[in-house]
Amino acid sequence: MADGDGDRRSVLKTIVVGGSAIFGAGVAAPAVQVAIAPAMGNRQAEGRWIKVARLSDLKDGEPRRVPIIAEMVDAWTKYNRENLGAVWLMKNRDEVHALSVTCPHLGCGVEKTNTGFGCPCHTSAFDAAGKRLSGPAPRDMDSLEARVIGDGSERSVEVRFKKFRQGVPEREEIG
Amino acid sequence: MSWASKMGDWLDARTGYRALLSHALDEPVPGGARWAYIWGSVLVGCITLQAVTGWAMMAYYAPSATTAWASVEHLTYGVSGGWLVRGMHHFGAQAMIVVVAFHLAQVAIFGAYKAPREVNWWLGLGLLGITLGFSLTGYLLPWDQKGYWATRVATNIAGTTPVLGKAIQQVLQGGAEYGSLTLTRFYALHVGVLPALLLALLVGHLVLFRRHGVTPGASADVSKVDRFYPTQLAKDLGGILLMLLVVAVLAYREHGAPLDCPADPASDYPARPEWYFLSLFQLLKYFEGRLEVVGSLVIPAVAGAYMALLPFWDRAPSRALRRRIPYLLPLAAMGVAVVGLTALSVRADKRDEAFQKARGTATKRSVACLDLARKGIPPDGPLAMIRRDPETRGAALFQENCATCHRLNDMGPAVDKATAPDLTGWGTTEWVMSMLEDPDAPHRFGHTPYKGEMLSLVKPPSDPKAAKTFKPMSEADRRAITAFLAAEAAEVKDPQHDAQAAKMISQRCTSCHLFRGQTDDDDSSGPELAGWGSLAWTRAQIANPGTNATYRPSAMDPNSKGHMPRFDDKLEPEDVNLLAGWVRKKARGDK
Repeated sequence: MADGDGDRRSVLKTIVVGGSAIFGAGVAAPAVQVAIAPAMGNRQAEGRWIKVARLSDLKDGEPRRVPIIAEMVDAWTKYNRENLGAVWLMKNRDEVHALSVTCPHLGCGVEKTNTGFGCPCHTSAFDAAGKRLSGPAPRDMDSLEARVIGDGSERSVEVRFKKFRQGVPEREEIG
Repeated sequence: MSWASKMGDWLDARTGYRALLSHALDEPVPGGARWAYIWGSVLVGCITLQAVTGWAMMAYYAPSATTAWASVEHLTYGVSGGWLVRGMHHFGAQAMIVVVAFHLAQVAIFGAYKAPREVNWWLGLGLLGITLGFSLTGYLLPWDQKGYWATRVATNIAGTTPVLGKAIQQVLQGGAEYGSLTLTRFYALHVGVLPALLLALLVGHLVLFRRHGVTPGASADVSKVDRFYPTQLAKDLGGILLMLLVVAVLAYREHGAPLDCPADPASDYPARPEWYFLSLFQLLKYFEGRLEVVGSLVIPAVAGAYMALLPFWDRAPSRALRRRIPYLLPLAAMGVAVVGLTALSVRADKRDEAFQKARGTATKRSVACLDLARKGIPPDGPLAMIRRDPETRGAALFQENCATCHRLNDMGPAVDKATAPDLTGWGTTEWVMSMLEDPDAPHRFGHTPYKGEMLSLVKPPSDPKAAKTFKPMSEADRRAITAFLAAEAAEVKDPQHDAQAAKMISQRCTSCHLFRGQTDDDDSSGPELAGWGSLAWTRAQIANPGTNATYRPSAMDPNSKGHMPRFDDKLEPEDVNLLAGWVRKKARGDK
């Protein structure tokens, strides 16, 4: 084989390798962009104030689980009223506290127990204020802002609904 | 020994990959590498492109009648890079058709279908069929007007197959009609069945290709032999990259792929297939009635049979093109026919004004649909979204319920065919003035049963006795009344001005009209003028004209023919409300 031929072959090999790389990247890049789009530009959703109950429906010292029903956009669908989640409401005279029902460990629904709250999945236990007592939960139950609005019998409870990342010790809001 | 080659040795000892790789790459190319041989590889490039962009789209697509269009809209306009992926898939599909044609032509011209390569020729024809199957099934998936109507034609053609037609069509469609089951079936075919068949046939195609090798041109110097890698592969990659470039440029230029309004079985739509099926579409125009099956099935079947049997017909060992011209003539004729019929179809559409007008309307509608979708698509789907949109819904309700008698802008019957007043400008001072001056004008009561019922305020009546005592209303008074009524219609209140004009109306008009519930003559037939043309008045008039809110109950007397009917027994209250708002808005020029 002449030297010229060898040179030509190595140029062609470079062309083949380079061309394959360009084709691979050209085809894969837009597909990858689309595939990872949900992880990009993680915008922090502002918590919304949502009316969840009438104050008169709550009793002092008796936690009550209420659903959060509000407008929701899921991918392409816009729902006017859809279940977004639920919260535990605790009333103390004119004040109301709200705790997310989602266990900060791995996201199961936290239930009421004799001592406060407990998670049925991995047996994390919390006291009546949501403070972690035992089990694998990395933090206390997530409290949410709650307020009482209106007058007299019309007084109702609003919660600023947010969701938090599970499995981490620090509270981290998710979009 | 380097670390990398040690790893390579370890892997080779366990897999033998080096032998496999060199078997794949060192394939001899007798006669030398040629650009003519690139088409098979370019097709593999196309398939790769379609597979990768297809997978990305599968992560977003939801096949059902309420979600398909919405999910495609979301991917195209709501996901970063979504338009590009969809655009590349759309134009990649078209590139694939073009490349298939080149591949087929090259194989035919080089005589590569001849013994012993007949089976591979058939596998290639099978792959051609699968490619067309991909086009057909993929076209429907966005569930937009274009795909919906074009694909319906195709499945209806399948339905005309003798004996088995009905069964074939129903199996394809998932029932007697198009719906969610059609989508799930087409989706299953497009992303499951067809890719598996394609892969199986492609593997067979490549194995047989390697078994028999490249078919060199008849005059090639076969003593010259190149290796597939890198000489031929470099040329192949040139073709593949050119294909990718063309696809990317087209996708970029069109900003993705077009998306029409969501599929609506109740709509009119100027359906056309994608350009590569236009020749078949045009062919159908020449066969009428019972002969239709000739254009839809017989001719395509004869063409397919010719191609399948070509290796048995052209059996001479020579691959020289000149000697094979008679055998290839039908193929050339098919090529010419495809180009010619496509051109005829395009020309016919260009010259067809009605089609161009319908096309223009469809384009306008699709812009409106996409604008609406940006506000969010309800859970019951994009058609419900359009139905609830006042703009589209209002026009549809008017067309269905009002346009038989009333004209409004460019909707409804011609002026001389209308049997109710023209609503164009209804509620404006101009409209009221023309009613006061010439109520029997052709676009007012002229062609209605109420001609002669209302008297002009400026022209003397035809009855000579009445004409003697007739005194025309002064222009200032007419202006005051029109201004008052136009203000009522626009729902603007001007108390000072109102009081004066109201007094005039209660003196001059109540011998025929109601005004604030009062009238001088209980048998007269003029409508209530207070609030005339307001939303409440219009709503009441559409719901039931005979409630005293607009006209008196006598208006609904079955003997009083030609009066506007009630619609509250036909339309839902929200539709009456929407229609009233739409008519007022359109009549007064969108103000």
